[in-house]
Amino acid sequence: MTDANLPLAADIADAVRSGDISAAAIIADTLASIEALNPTLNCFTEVLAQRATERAAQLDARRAAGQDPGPLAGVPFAVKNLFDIAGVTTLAGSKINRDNPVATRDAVLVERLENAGAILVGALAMGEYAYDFTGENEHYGACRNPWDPARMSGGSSSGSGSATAAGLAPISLGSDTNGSIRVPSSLCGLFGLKPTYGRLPRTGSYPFCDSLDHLGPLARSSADLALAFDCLQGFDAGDPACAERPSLPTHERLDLGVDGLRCAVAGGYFDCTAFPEAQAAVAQVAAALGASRELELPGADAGRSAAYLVTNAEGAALHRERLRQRPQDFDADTRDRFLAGTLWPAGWYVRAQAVRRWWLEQMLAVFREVDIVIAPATPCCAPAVGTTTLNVRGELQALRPNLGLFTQPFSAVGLPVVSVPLWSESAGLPIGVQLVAAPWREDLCLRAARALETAGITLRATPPVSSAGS
Amino acid sequence: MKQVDMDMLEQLSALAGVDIPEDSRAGVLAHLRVAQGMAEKVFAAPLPADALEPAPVFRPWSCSGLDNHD
Repeated sequence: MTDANLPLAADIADAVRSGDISAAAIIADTLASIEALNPTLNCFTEVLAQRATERAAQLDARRAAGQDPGPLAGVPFAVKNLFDIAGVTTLAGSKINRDNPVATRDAVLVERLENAGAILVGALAMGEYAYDFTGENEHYGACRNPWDPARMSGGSSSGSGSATAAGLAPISLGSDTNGSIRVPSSLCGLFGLKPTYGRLPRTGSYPFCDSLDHLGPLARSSADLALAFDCLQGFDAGDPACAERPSLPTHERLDLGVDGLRCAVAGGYFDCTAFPEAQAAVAQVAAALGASRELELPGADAGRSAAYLVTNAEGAALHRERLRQRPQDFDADTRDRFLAGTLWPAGWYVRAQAVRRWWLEQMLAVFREVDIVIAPATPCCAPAVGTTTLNVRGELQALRPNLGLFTQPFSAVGLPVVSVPLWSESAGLPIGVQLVAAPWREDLCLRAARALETAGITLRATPPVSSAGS
Repeated sequence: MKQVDMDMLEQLSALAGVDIPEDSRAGVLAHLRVAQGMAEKVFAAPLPADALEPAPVFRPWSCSGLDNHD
């Protein structure tokens, strides 16, 4: 860990807007850093040097002509390779999708960030078809963690976690069906936002599980996260799940503080006594937010089970023909899980959907008394690449599904969550804590994250592999 | 529920019209057993009798009390 801080998106935008530095210079530096670090981190699958350079020149020309270059002027960003990028094939982490034609237009969220002045520099690594928590990928190799390249980045938004932590993209976009923004945020030491289900449109992104897919940003500060989120919001009819709601300005509310916010710790299913790194992080956050109350949340285990069943049933249905025609072209573990999902009774799926509604009603009752629920993001810090098992309360279980043990219950019911990064002294690595709020209250999660950051609770150091040293 | 075994796997895959490659059989069976454990948990949840929606579609904004949190 070094003390040198990488530039934040807000700092870059301020400098570009004021003319202290050109977008062209920012992009040239970023492209050079990607070229230097990607061989170590394996986080980019496509670098858009020409496009980014042209966009930067256009932005500088607009600013020189007196036009507003936007709130994210000149900020480099990158997206998980399930977002459509015009002229690029949307891989979704797979080998099979290489045969697809290139996308003809950008995903809506890519357009929105670029309309705000940000500049897309590339597509990022991910687990195959987003069914992953580790960042490993049989086709493209493991995406590496900038805190220790021998360790996992987390997934399935692995490249988003790795690239943003390393300073190669101050903002990145990921997707989160069961925890795929929050897990890499935890393992790579980032702020990650999974908004309320239906808040951000998924138009122009490759699906995994329609009932549970969310898109959202990762960043290195709560302010950058809020800045990006504000630019991403808005209805789009291209996603049938997108709710027609007014945008919620969060950046301007960040510094309202947490006085008056009722915070409580998730207990029961979320008890992390057996996971000391997670337990220490939750305790730190709880103390800083004055959360002395513990919630039992008895529906969480069934909610997580429901998410598991819904995810695999819908994912397997999506990929059924590919499983029939090209089973050998899947990552073996992804294939086996999807194949299992083609076989189970419809009654399991229907019951799982009913359980989600029941579990959401429980959480809505909680939010009548509490504003923020605090829970661990991952049971542990980043495991070594190649690790396959995790000790879950005395039982050795598969690592891959269990890295999402604590994230899955909340995405199962679409609640907004910010994962905040802390430093584990015992492990010498970052680890995340989830701040969960009632539906549509991303502003509360972000305010609490900001308060923790201001109080010096969250991590603001630079990893050993970063653009600061490249 | 009876625990799924290789024979059941064969029957289910035939019914679903999906071939399970030989080298995937053990993996698929293991995942199916994990799913079966999850299914037992969702069926054990004490849902009220009227909990089933007419269609298995999740509509978070239709849940009672949702808008009270604005």
